[in-house]
Amino acid sequence: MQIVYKVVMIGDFGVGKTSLVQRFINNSFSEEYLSTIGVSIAKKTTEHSTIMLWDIEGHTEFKPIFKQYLLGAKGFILVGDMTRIDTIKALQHHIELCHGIVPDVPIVIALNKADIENIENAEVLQQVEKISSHIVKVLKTSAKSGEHVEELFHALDKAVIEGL
Amino acid sequence: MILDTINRLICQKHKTSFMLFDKNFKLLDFNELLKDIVDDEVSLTFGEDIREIVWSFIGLEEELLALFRNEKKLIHIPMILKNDHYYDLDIEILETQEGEKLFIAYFIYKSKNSIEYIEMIKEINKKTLINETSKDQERQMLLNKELISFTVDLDGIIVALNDALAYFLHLEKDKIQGSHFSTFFQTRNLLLEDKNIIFTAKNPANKVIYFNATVLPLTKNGKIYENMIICQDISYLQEVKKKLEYVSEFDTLTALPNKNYLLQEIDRHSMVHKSFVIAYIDIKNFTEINKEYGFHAGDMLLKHIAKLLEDMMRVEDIVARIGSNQFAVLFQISYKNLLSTLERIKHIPLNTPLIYSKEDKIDFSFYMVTAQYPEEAENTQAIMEILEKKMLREKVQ
Repeated sequence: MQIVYKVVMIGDFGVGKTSLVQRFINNSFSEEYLSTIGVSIAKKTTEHSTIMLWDIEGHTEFKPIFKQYLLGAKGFILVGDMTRIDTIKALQHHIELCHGIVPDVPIVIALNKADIENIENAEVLQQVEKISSHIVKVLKTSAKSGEHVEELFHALDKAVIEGL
Repeated sequence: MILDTINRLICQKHKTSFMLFDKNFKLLDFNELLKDIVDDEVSLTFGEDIREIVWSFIGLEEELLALFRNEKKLIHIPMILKNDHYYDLDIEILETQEGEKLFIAYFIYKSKNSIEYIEMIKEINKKTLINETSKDQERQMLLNKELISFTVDLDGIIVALNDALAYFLHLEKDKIQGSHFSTFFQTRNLLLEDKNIIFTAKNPANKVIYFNATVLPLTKNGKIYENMIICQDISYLQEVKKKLEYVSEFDTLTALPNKNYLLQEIDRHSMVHKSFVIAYIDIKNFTEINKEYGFHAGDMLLKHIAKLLEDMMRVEDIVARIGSNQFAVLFQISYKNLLSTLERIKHIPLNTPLIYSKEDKIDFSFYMVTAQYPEEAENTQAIMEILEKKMLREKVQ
């Protein structure tokens, strides 16, 4: 029997949330940047589940993440941009937000844009894993090359199914 | 057909889709507009589970239960993108005449103007991201390089320099050493007499960079033998200065000169005894327009009027926004030659209402009074006072 559940992508704006969804759903990538406003919902069917992926607008200093989008999520994918250290540091704040709305659900973290010259600050990256015990995986991803994108979604899928 | 005709018509008029479902999430009723929201392959069949029809319901089960138990009044999820349209999803409880509690979900379409607004935000985000990324890269480069510093002898010849200077100039160190510092940096103080001096230099991209140069004399036995110069990039201060100058004289919404600028112009004209006429315009019921159509519509109206006024004026006339809903025009022409122009301005509201959206045409009107220099007043303050008094009289009438 197929399990149907909701997953929300969270991160600062421009970190590549939509690109990761596009890579996972359509196996495609576009260099053009068009920020997401509001939420776009995509569906992906895997062997055992149907995932409803909520690709929500990125957090900016002018606009916080709208909490309503997080309701009922069974898992979160948090995304940081490896070329912008602020977006990695902001992950802690995003995790607190997720736990505040839906506690005890698995989280995977994508450190995206690993294909381009990036900060590779080992200390910061190690800290990411320690932010929460609900983090099941931290992966350096590239929506452009597809590196670790499938693994990212499958790690969360597995954790969600096991937790049900 | 559970929902009555009036409600259906209201939904139709406001381009709102709805679906009615029971506590088991079974679809009971909907209107035709819902077809725009669901995927083509989805069949809208009564009794179908609504989570199979609209994806946004998946995960909302607990929230719906809370709604059913009256623990909350509304579920509101804004700005859902579907099939190139944005809509807000509002879910409420509807009690039938028989006392049965049902859920009603409204899918409220965003108007064309909202979409234009969204596109504008996207464009701004795009530009911000590009700036942010390039700033990060620059910052990263700076982290790798120290502040620019170099040492000059008493004749100003560079005798030593750090990597940052070579990096900034994109030159090998030996190409810089031995040259006078003025080869690379421009300053009014070539003798380095002050402790802090402003240097300018062009980077390889030909952009002028401003530096605050700190001069540290190096001494031996109490005598200065060389000067060490440490340069800090202060170009951002120039940018800040430019922005402040702009904000102090221009209105950021309409891009028109502001009151400050207009007063300076009036001063300038009256000082050289150049005759002119000022028309003072005050939009009627602007607060009500904001209330009825929203602040975005109010802003659009101000931009609309600003453009119409600008289009109507000659190059030498100055249109300014001098208050929240007030404009003024400085005409460098005598009053008698201005009558037809003033007449045309009066007809602006009648001829060109703001078409805010397909559904919303915003009619507006304004008060207009004029004052002449030097006939009615001799200085800026007196002119503004006359205009205020005339405006007050006009409003009372």
